[in-house]
Amino acid sequence: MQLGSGLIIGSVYALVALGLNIIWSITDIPDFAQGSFYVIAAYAGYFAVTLAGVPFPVALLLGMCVGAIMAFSCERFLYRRWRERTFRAAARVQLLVAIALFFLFANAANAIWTSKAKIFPAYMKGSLLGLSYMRINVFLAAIVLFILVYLFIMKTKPGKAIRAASMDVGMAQVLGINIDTVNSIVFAMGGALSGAAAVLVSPLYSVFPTMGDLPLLKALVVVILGGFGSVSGVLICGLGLGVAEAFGATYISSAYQHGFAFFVLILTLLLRPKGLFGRV
Amino acid sequence: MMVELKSINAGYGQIQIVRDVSMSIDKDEIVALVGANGAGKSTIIKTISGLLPVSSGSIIFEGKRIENMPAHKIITTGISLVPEGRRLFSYMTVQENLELGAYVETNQKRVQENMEWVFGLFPILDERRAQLAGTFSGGEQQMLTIGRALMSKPKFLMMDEPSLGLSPVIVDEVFKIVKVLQNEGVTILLVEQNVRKSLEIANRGYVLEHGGIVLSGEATELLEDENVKKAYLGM
Ligand SMILES: Nc1ncnc2c1ncn2[C@@H]1O[C@H](COP(=O)(O)OP(=O)(O)O)[C@@H](O)[C@H]1O
Ligand SMILES: [Mg+2]
Repeated sequence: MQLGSGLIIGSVYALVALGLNIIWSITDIPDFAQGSFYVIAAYAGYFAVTLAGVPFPVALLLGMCVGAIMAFSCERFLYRRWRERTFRAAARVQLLVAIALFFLFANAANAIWTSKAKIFPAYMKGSLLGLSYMRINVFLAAIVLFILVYLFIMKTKPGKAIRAASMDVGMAQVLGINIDTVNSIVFAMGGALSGAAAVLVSPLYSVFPTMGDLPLLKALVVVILGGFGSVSGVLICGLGLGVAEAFGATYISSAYQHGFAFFVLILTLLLRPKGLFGRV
Repeated sequence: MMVELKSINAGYGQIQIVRDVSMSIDKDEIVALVGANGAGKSTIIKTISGLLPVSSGSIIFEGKRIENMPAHKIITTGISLVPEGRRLFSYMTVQENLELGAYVETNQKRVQENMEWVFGLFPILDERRAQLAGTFSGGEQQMLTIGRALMSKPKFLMMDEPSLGLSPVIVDEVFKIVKVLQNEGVTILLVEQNVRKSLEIANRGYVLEHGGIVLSGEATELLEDENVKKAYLGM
């Protein structure tokens, strides 16, 4: 039971972390704004289901598109402005912009939709081994998305260009890889993954303006623990963190559940400054 | 004339390194650019590559100005780079590194042809296709770096310290390859701290000091030049 619910919340951490990780390792931007794309995608999914009555998979796709478009636009029209010909110099400004965007969008969500939680209607009944199908779907969808991202990054030409850029931006450019295009792709991917995570969990936990805070912060922990640039590291750490929290909440104290991740983060970084799977 | 730098000034942000440098390279030449550590050789190469902007002056390649071209477009004109420090994608295989060298080539058949050409020059790469680049020895990595740069079938190849840190046997091999490439019709700008060896295979040379060209001429003349002998050949 703890294992099951841990894997599910861990899937959410892992999905958000995967997007953050790809963006971070290529652009040097810890894109906090992903936390608010998560929220807005969840609302998009919620309204699509409740107002337009679309089936859940369509709402999921819509949430992913909303996340992708928002992330893409923030990169295209904002972050890119501070990235001059010497790319890495602007990282500090971009970090501030990312944090500003996060609070800006969070505030807007609160203003528009109020802080009252909205109940996302269940789209499926039934359960297996004490876990509802809706919960199991979160895990399955996460695995599918991880496999897709992995295949994209490892096997396709744009995927290889992205990997090359994550190792050496300048050299990638010299070989003809357009970094603007790479950035657009990775931001859109990151936004889509955050959006997917958000819509997948919404039927389990309802929709509210601060719903993105914890997944965002936990995902940051997962990225740091999982090591930049490592897809499998993120999956393992994301799921591991979810499971550890679930067991910790049951056997130690649920009051400390959300502090646990940050305790582990500091401890791990003291012992292994590059994270558990770090390579870059 | 294939490549021409006309009074370029360049550097890093506010820091100006390259001062009023003019150079020219003819088709099928090997031109050596020599100078002490920190003279600005790599900065010139990075500027031609589009990784650094010029603050003034122009760079002309086959009659076209390229100094304002974005870095990722430069390779499409036929310019390629063996960068200082190799800069391989160490977590990728030999084959992936080579494929990235031909990233701009959309014709798959031509990618295959270029790869065969590279494998012909460096048979070791063919045998180790699936190996991660980072696990190679220094010499093998340098061969892969040159191979990657050749995958776009460049007309003009810039080589930044290709023999740095290699054992004497491998250094000889690298210089041999440079000569072979010249015979295959690749025009070469060779940056080396190994001044004697590079002037021995070059047609012409430029000597760079503190970001400015102080001397230029036929390679054989430079080898006989008293100042060059004293400063760079230890004589
Ligand atoms: N990224 C950089 N930012 C600022 N200065 C740099 C940078 N890279 C090199 N320099 C400076 O530029 C000068 C020339 O460097 P470089 O072109 O690498 O010399 P060379 O290749 O001839 O050894 C040196 O003084 C070096 O300190
Ligand atoms: Mg140098």
